[in-house]
Amino acid sequence: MKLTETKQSDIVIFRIQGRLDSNTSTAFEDKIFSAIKAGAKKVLLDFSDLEYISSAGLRIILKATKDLKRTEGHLVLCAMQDYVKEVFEISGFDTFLPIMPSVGEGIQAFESFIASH
Amino acid sequence: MKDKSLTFKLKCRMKELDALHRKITEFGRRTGLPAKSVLEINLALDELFTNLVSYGCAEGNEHFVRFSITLKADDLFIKMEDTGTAFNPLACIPPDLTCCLTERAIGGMGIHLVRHVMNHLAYRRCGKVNILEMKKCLAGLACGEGPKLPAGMKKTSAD
Repeated sequence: MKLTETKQSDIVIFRIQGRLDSNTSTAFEDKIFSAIKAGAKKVLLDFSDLEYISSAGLRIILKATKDLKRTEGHLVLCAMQDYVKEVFEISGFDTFLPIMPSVGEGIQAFESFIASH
Repeated sequence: MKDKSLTFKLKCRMKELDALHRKITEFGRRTGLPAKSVLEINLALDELFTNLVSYGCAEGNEHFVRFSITLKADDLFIKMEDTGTAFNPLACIPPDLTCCLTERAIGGMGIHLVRHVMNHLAYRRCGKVNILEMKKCLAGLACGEGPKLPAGMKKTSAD
């Protein structure tokens, strides 16, 4: 798993490549919660190169979503491959997580969150 | 598809997860399984193995798990045998997938994923060994497709 962290305006973007499983999820967990602790309120996960996710990855995404909600922040997921999207659908996570087709649409989604408040 | 089989043994250590993934991927390539089925099999065995390493192995004892995978015509049969703590995954309460975000718990999600991607699950405890037998139907699948059977069609049994 390769993890890249970038910032676009006030949006923290994590690009995750490879597999997100029990072996690799700790590195991802450390990075995302460091960003949230540092005050990030808009977090975008770019899944275009994510090949595989297990419940270990889902656990971190659920926890991050709950933490961000407490600070009125948002987590947006983008550009999922079909198989990864299926795991989100099986687990029902697609019912409460914003999943956007592309990174560009993901960035735009934060604007709509602001407009709806 | 010709009949094909694979048997391998792993130590119950998380770093063995990569070996599990490699072996299933190689088996899928060798037997020509649809890519989506290989990913689903990977997911199910990953969840079961992670569960075993995380909760089923008492400290101080070396535990092992053996996977036996057999492809017969269009059905894939998988047997998982481990020496961990007695654990019947079929007795797990399914997670509530309808509750809101704040009430949502991650517990049980791994087994839920296993139940979803497999068509048949049967558990028994033999002496000090957990035995979980699984069946995945591949009939009629083209590359990139998977079985979509309702949960009620998944026959399960346990001691």
